Amino acid sequence: MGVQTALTISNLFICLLGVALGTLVGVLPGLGPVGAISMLLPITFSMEPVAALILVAGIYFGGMYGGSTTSILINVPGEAASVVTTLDGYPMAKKGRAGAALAISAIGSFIAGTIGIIVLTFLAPPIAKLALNFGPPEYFAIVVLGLLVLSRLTDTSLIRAYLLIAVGLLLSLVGIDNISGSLRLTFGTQALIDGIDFIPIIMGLYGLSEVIASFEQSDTKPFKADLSFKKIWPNKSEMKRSVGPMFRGGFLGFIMGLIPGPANILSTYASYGLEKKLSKHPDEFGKGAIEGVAGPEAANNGATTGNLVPLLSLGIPFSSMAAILLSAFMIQGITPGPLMMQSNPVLFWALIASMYIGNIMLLVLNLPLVGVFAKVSLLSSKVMMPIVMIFCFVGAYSVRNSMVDVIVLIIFGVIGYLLRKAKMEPSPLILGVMLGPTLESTLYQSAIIFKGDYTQFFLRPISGTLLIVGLIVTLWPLFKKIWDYIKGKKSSAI
Amino acid sequence: MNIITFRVRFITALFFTIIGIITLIGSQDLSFGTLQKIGPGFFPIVFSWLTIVLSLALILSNYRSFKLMKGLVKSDEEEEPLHLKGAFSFVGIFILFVIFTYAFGFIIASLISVGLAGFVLKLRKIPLITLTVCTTFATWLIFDLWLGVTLPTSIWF
Repeated sequence: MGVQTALTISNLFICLLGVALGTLVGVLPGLGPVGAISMLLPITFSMEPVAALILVAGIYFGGMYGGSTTSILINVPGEAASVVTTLDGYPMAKKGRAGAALAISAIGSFIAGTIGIIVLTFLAPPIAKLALNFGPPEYFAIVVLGLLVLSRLTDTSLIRAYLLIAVGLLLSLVGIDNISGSLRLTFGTQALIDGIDFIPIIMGLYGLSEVIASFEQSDTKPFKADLSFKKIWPNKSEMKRSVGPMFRGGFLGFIMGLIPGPANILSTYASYGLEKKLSKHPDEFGKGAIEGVAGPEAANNGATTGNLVPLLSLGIPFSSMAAILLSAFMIQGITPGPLMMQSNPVLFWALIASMYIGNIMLLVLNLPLVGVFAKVSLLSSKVMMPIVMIFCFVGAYSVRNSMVDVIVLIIFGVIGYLLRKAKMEPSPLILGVMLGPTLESTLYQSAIIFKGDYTQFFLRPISGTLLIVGLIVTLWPLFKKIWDYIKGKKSSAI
Repeated sequence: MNIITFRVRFITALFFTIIGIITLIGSQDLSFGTLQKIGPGFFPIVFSWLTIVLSLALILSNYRSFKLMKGLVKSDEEEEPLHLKGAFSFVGIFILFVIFTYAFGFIIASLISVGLAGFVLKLRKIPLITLTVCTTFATWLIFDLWLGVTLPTSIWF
């Protein structure tokens, strides 16, 4: 039924539109896929839930691919996850193999996306079934573990990551307390009674901050690559060398995507390292090795799909991209999670089917249109940024038809710019905002269940295990220091 | 770490310290609750304190690592520019957008803010005018006409 829904003419068109829009915005200078989706999110407000989610999924996958185009052609990664692609993609372009690199990137993304969606299809329902037995303590433990792991992976400094999580959690508390009904942190302002919506926050941190930073960006130089349809096909040897990395990258990315944090970035580095280790030509890496494009590109897409498992089966986002997808669900009045598969199976399976269709469309669309997308990537930021600015303003306003949201957007645009200059990744703040209400309500319910005896968190197998893992992850650097100290003492004694 | 990162981190941490203090003051009237029943003030008070402590810790660690890095070999990241003039210009344009939207409605505010943004980004006359008019018209067309978002009108009429 879900597949049938996804295959209707209108939904197929919406999927195509999403993929094309995502790729177009993804290749634009400066704006990453997170900013792109948050900017395009208001388009879905007046749509039917199934169509809206299909559109967002299409933008999501299209945006991921778009980021790679600029990496290969002009050595400017469209997003952090495409940085690794520049290492071999750009040297390939300089050697006149830009078309092959782009084609391998598209095929790799398709294979990884397909692997991911197939595994997701089989993995999400049993996890969701298992999650039906979860109570508030288990959900609390999952959220705590997610935040702890995320803070270990997003920044080299725990202080910076924890600080942003704390600020995000504080922001999520503004407005009416759902449990007691009392007003919190509104400071007598009527506009804050409904709380601070997360969409203007995301748009500000990822979209408007780019506009402020555009003053510092210089325009990219035009490239001279032959991207005619005949020249984009990789040769036999390139294809043969890419198959293994694509599959390995796809699986590696998917598994890493299940872990909270910036999996799509980390998986590209992990895949690059793995391919360099396994390659028969490790000396070619950094000089235009096709494996250096195929593996990371597949890993990036695999991780994107892996990220969807906790979102769809538990309703918990573990990355900023998943958080935006969650917001798209919530705008439509749908709460993803274990109950969604039971209460709204058509929507769930239509979404999964549309992801698969979207991947096919991405491949069909990107190979012949790669030259067009390449030209779009050269659009001057002087032209793009005023458009992005107005879209952000209207997007934030249309969330609740309120200028307060535009003011929130501006404040977070400035904060986003500051964080960018301070070299602090904003995703912990976003996840703090998104996970704050769940963290609070589950702790409140757990306190009632446990009658104030919090040691019971550790007596329940799932919550206990998750919290212990969280503690180990947090205290790991300390353990390592103690271990190194003991080891050093022993060796000096010898 | 370069001097720009050091200064911006200091400003960011200071800003978050102030936020923490303000939210802590704003949470004073809320009940903290008990171990059995958490009150509405529990999370705001705990996270306000956490924000203050972590911000101060960031200021300290930032200062310490900057002192350690001083005199070391220059890294590539030190080349990153910071154009306060541009940043302030854009923030000014954003504020003007809000004021003009309240006063004259979205269309006028959009024309002025896109025009100013293009001017700040040194667009030439013809592309600037084309961009300003086309962006405003396209936004009105997509959001107001097609998607049914009622764009803000002036408070006067």
